[in-house]
Amino acid sequence: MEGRAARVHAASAAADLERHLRTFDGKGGDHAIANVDFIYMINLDARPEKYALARRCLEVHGISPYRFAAVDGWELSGEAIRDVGLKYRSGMTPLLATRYPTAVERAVQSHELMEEPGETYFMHCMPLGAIGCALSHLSVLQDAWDSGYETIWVMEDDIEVLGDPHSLPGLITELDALVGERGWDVLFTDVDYRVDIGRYLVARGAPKRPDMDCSLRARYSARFTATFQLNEHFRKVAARFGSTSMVIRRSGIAKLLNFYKQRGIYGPYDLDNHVPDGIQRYGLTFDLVTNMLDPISDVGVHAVVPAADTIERFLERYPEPMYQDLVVGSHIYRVGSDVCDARYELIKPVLERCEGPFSVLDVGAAQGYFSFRIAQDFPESTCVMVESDNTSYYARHGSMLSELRAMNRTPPNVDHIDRRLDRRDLEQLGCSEHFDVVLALLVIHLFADDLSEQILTLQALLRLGDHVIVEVASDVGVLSTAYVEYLAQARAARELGVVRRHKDPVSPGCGRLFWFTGEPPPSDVATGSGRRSRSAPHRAEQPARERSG
Amino acid sequence: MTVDWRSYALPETIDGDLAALADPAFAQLESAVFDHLANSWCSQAKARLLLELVVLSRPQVCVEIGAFTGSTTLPVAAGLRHVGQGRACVIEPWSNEEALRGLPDGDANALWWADVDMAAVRAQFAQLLAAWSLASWCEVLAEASRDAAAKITAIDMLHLDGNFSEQGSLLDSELYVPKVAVGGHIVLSNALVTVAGKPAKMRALWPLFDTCDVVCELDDGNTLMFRKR
Repeated sequence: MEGRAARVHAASAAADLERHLRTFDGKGGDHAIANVDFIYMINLDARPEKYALARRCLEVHGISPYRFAAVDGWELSGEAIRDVGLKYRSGMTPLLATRYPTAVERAVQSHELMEEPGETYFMHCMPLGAIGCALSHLSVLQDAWDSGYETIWVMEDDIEVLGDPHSLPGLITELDALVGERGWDVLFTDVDYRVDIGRYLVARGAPKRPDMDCSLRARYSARFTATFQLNEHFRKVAARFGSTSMVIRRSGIAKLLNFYKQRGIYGPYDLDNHVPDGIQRYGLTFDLVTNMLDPISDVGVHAVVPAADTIERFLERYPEPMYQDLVVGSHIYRVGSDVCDARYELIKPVLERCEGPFSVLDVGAAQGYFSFRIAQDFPESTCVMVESDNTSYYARHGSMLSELRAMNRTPPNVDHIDRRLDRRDLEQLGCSEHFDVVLALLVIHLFADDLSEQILTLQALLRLGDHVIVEVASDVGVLSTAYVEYLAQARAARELGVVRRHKDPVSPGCGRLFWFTGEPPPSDVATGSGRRSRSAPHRAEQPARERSG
Repeated sequence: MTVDWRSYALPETIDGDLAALADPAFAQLESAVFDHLANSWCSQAKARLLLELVVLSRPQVCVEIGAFTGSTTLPVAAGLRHVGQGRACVIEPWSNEEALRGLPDGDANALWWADVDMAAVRAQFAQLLAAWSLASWCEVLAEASRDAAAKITAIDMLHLDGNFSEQGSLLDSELYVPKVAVGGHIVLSNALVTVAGKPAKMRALWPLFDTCDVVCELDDGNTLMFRKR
């Protein structure tokens, strides 16, 4: 009777989990290499920039992974969370755990001892993002199983490619010969989870699960700790951290799916996926495709700072007038005093002309409206925002921007230079960096009080980019406005348009946006200032084509 | 904002001998000029600029467009007398009609210029030259700047302070800036004057940007100095 009940439970658990696996809509294209039937890359829809970076790392090798739209754990329904997790049953070891019975626990995690039979529990402090991550991996495995693949390569979107990935087919052949085609289930394409150059976070045993022997002896037994080198290329791998890049055999797919369907998700995927009985895991003795150092993780952010709360708290912390609208994720909070959308629409056609990845220097980024939007709309772009506190009359723009960047989950393609730059800094920057696009929207007059210095600042900016978009207004910095307008006609810069500066309908101020193509001015056009730059007097004619980021 | 043009890099922009400014006789003259202009529309910073520029660069021909009561003529002419060479060519029609040309009806500037007693202003100018014994250093062309342009061939130092309208200030710039010799200096006054809510002299800057470098600015940007390339 007990055995029958267990079978019923197992069947029920399998159905519960399967219901929440994401399915695929047609997988066209070539996503294979020799010895690998299909290559998957798991990526959240909200993280196009991570995918763009990861894809680029492989594209240079002619490898095209299939992008699997990851399950966002933060969007899971209460029913889904309940269905996919481990159900506590009699006979299990009660542990301090976390569960998500209501929306309250989504904001503030619960920490409680397992005691309710049939209730869903997760590992202590298991964030919702980690549940989504595990579901994503399991969805991939289910698709691979249903598709009949013998060997798949599964990657997350924070990879770093440190060798030629085309060596992988040869390594698979070598491993087949070493341990037999049926002698391995998983091959990690790296040594271990990297935390620095040449340093790894090493697992010393297995974490607790209520459905396994939680004694120290068991958790630190050879089954979970016996990682050792087999030969020049391979290691036998027990427990380890990280699931960034794994080659998985059909036998491994079956073992992993069976395990999770029967027992449910409990801990993060990498802390559980070594548990299935009999799973044979191997890794390389060198890092071929491995995890990016200091990656941006979406697994645990929301559990600490719920997004809906964050913007309200942000506005409480910064009650002063905002210059720009706030971009947080896919939301635009229209709290800024200035018209932003219309400006962006004027700028966007210039960005669309840039082919492939491009870099943007956003000088005087304020609340980062333009960079965050560019980073989202052009995920292959890299934006560098320059903003700090005490720039002109804006006391806390730098602090605001740092927080806004964090609220945007620190997108890897948006950097922030929290420093007040002067003209010499720009010239110095120009010695080592060159950008495809430079945005200088109503900022030149803030660099210096006097016109001659503003002219030199503009020249430094023009040298920094191929496409330099400068906004000026008739009611602020009028002398620099006159110079920009003069230079625009002298250099045949294109006027992108005129925008109202402020949303306040009474405010008459307008901005004019000019698009300079970035070539240095010919010698018969005004240099504008009698003072010559001393830090970089001659280099601007042929700026180095190094890209930011 | 800088109030002393000396705080800008003089050696890079002026070829003259800075020791001339340390001459006690010059210091006495400068002090007297400052005292005289204490409550005038010419700030001390601009008076210093004009006077010291003359003493350092020793121009042969200084042209001033828009002298009005002579507040800025004084430092230029006094400087010429101090160095004992050159002449100031003062172009000023003392005409309400000319002052109003190009200004829209109802504009605050137009209203002000319409009420000025130009004859009295001209008399004040003449008294100033007499009081400072500067008449022999000045040639006065009492006519519109567009009419006087043909009489001016070469300029070493130009002070643009004429008509406030966009068209008028641009015309002055276009007519006279090309006559300034390479290395010569141009001072533009009332750069930030607004007419009908817009800064009116911005287009007048274009011919300057075309052929000159900015040397310095005074009076919160209302006075700009350029050097001809």
